[in-house]
Amino acid sequence: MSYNFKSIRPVMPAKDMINVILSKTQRKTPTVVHPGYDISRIRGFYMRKVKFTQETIHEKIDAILQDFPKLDDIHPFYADLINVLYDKDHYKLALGHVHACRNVIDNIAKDYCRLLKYGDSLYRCKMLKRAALGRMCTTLKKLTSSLNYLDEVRKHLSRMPAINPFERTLLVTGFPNVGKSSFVNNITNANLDVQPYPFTTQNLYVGHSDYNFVRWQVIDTPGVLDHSLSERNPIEMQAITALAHLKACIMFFLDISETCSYSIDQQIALFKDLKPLFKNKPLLLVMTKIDIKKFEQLDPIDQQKLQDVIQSENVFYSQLSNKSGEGIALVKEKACNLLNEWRQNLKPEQLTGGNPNLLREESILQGVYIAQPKRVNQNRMPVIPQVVGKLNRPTLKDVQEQNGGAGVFSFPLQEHFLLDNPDWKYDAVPEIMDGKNIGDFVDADILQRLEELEKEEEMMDQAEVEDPDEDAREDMLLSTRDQVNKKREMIKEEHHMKMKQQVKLHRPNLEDAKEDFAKKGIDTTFLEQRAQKFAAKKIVQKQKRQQQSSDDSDDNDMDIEGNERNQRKGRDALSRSRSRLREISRSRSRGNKKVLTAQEQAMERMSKKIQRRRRNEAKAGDGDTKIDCKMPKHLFTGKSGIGKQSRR
Amino acid sequence: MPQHDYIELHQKRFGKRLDTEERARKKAARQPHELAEKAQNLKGLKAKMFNKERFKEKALMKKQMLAHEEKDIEVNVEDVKDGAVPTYLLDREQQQQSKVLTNMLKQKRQEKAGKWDVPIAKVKQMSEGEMFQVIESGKRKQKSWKRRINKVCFVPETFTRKPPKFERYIRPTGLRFKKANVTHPELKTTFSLPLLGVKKNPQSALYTTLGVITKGTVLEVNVSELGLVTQTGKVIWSKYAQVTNNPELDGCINATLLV
Repeated sequence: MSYNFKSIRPVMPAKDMINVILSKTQRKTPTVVHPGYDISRIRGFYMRKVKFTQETIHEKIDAILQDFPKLDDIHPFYADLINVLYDKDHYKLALGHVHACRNVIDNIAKDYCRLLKYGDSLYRCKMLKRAALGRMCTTLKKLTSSLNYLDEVRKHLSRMPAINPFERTLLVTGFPNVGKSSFVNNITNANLDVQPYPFTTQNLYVGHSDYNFVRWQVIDTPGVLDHSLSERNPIEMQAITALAHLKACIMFFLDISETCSYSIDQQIALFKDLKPLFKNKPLLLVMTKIDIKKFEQLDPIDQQKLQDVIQSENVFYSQLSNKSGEGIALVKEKACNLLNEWRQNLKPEQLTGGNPNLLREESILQGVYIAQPKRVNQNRMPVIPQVVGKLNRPTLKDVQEQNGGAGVFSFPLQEHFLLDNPDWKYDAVPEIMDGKNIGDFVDADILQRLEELEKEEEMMDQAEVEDPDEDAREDMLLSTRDQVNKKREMIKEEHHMKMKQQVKLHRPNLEDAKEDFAKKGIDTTFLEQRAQKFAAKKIVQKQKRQQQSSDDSDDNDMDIEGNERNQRKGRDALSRSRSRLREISRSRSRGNKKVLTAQEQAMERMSKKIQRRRRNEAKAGDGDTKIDCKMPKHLFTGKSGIGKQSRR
Repeated sequence: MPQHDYIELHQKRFGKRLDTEERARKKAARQPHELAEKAQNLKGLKAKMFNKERFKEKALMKKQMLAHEEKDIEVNVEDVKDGAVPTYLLDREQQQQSKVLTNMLKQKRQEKAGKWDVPIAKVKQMSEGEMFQVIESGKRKQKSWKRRINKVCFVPETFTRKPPKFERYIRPTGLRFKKANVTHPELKTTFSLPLLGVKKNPQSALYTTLGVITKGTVLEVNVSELGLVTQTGKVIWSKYAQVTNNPELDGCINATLLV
C-alpha cells in the first residue's frame, strides 16, 4: 500500500471559509422576497438559506475529514512518523475539533429551521436566518487555530517522499556525517544535499535504484546520536521510526577514518544501542571512507573491537568509499542479496501487508521461471530452394550494371508493350504533327462509326423513293387552311355589323317628323309654327344673356367670360349647402366677386367661424341634431380599451 | 522526485532569479495602486466585504498612531499645595470635588433603590395579535377560542397537556426553551444555565402564568453550577435574571443576572 498524501486538498483559513460560504449562499439561493408573499413561501425562502449554508459547511468540513489520514488506518510507520513530526495528540484534537464543529453547525441549522416554522412575519424569519448564519459563522471562526494547524500539516505531508513500506528497501543509518547521503546519491539519482557538517539531512529521503530487474527503494535517514530514546530530538526520531517499522535491509554506516568527529568506540556503542531495532532484519555493517584509512591500516585495537562486534553479533560487513567509488557496487549487491534471501523465507502476506496487488506481484516475482525453447541443432543455416540456384539469365539489375549503371541506363518499357504486330514495338510515334496534338485525334473505333452513319443515310434515301403522292396531300392541306381563314373573316364581319346596328340612336328632328306625319296623312303646318316659336324664344334668351354679361363687365372691369361663368357655377353649387345673409344674396345672384369692405370681411369671417363646427360635424344646419350611429362598430369592437393609440 | 524543502535546496544550489529583489520591490510598490483600484471599482457584495476589511485596517492604524502620539505627550502632575492655589486652578479643584459629590450621590441613590431595579425597566407593549395566533376549530372551523402562542415559552418538565377539547392555549414544542445564556454583570462572563421558571412577564400576568418569554421578562435560573454562596455559607440554587433580547427573533435567550 502506498500513500498519496499529495492529494489532500488545501485547508482554507476560517475567515476565508466564512467568506466563501456566505457568498456562495448569496449566489446559489434566491434573493428576492416580499412581505406580501404567502407566509409559507417566506418561511421556505429563509429555511432554504439556512439549510444551504449548513450543507455547504458540512461538505467543506467533510472534505477535510476525509482527506486527512486517520492514524489508526495507515501503516504504523506513517502513524509514528506523523506522531513524531506533528504530535499525534495535537493532530487528533484538531481533527476532532473540526468534526465536533460540524455537528454543532448541523444542530444549529436544525434548531433554527424548527424556529423558522413558527415565523409569523418576514421580519421575524429574516432575523432568525440572520441569527442562524451568524452562529454558524461564529462556530467556524472558533476553528481558526485548528484549520491553520491542519493546513501546515498538509503542506508538510504533501512534501513527504512516497515511501512504500512494502517495497524492497535499503535503509541507511549511522552517526551524522558518516557518508549516508553520499552513498544514496551514488546508487540512486535522488540528488540529495551533501555537506561536510553533521545534520545536513534533517528528514527521510528516498531514492530508487535498480538491481536484478526490480526496483529498490533506498531510504536516507538523518544521523542518529548515541543517547537514550527520551533525549532524542524529532529529527533523530524519524530515523528511529523508519528503523523500527520498515522491513528493510539495514545498512549501518561506520566511519572508520573517524573524520566524522565520532570515534569508532562511540559508533560501536551506538550500534549496540540500536541493536534491538535491527532484530529479525538483514543487517550489513558498512565501513566507510576507506580512501582515507583502510581497515587494514587501522589501529589493531580498533580492528580487534570491530572484529569482535562482527563475530559476536554475527553481522555481514563490507567496505566502501564514496569519494573513490570503491566498493559501492559491491555493498549494494551484498545488501540486496541479503534482503532477497531474507524475503525468500517470508510469506508473501507478511511482506505485502495483505495488499492484493502487491501480493500478486510478490508471488509472481518469487515464483518466476523463464522457459527457454530446446534447440535441436545449434547452427541453423538459411534454406534456399534449388530452383533459385538454377537461374542463368541475367537480372535487370545486371543489365543495368552492364549498360553504365543507375542514372545512365534507362529502363526498356517498350519490351512489355502488347501490340497486334510485335514489329511495331520499337516504332517512333510522334506526339505532334502539323502543329496538332495527335492524341486529340485518336479514336479507336472511328471506322465503325463511319460505317453506321453511311448505313443510316442509305436507308433514308430508300424511304424517299418509296412515297410518290406527297404533293397531292400538301395541296389538300393548304386549301383547307384557306377555307378556315375565310370563314373566320366572315364571322368577324358579321359580328361587327351587328354591333353597329345596336349602337345607333334614333333622334327625331323636324324633317323626319314632317315626313313621318305626311306618311300618316296629318297636316304638318302646326309643327312648323311650333318650331318657329321655340326658335324665337331661344334667340331672346340668348340676347338677354349677352346683355347681362356686358352689364357685369361694366361694373367690375372684368371681361373674361369663361372665368365669370365658372365663378357663378361655383356659387350656385355652394348655395345649396349654405344659407347666406340677405345683403350678400343680391351680389351673389349677379355672380360677381365684389370688393368687400372691412366690415363685410369681418362679418364673413365671423359667419364662417360660426359654421365651422357644424361643417366639421357634417350637419345640415343648426337644427340638425341627428346622430347617425351611436356606437360605430369599428370603434367599439376588439379587445383594446378606451385606447391610448390614435388608430384602431 | 522533489522531497521536503526542495525549493530551498534549489535556491541554495542555484540561487534566486537575478531580479527577485526588484520584482519584490515593484510588487510592494504596486500594492497601494491595486488597492485603490479595487476600492474604486468593486461592486456589490465584494465591495462591501472589501470596504469592511479596509475600514478595520484603517481604524487599527489610527488607533496605533494615536497610541504613539500619546506616548510623546508629557504629563506634568503637580501636587497642589494647601493655600497656594493660583486663581485659575480654583475652578478645577471645585470641579473635582463636585465630581466626587455626584459619584457619592449616585452611590446613595443606588443603595436606596429597590431590589427590583432591573436593567431593562421599560418594554414595548405587545398586542394580543402579535402574541397569539387564533386557531379555528369545530367541524366547519367556525369556532375561534383556541390560541397558539407565537413567542418563546418556558414549559416545566412536569407539565401535562390538557385534552385538546379543553386546551385554550397551545405552546408549540418548537418554541419551548430550556436554557438561557445568562451573563453575570460583574464577572462579565456568560453561562448557559437551565431555566427554572418565569417569574414575571411585564406584558401581563397571563403571560407570566403561561411562561411566555419576551424581552424584559424576569426568569428564574439554576445557578448551582456557578457555585455562588450566601453569606451564611449556603450554596445559592437559583437566581433571577432578566431577558435582554427578543428570543423569538434571535432563537436564543440572553439574560443578565440580577445580583
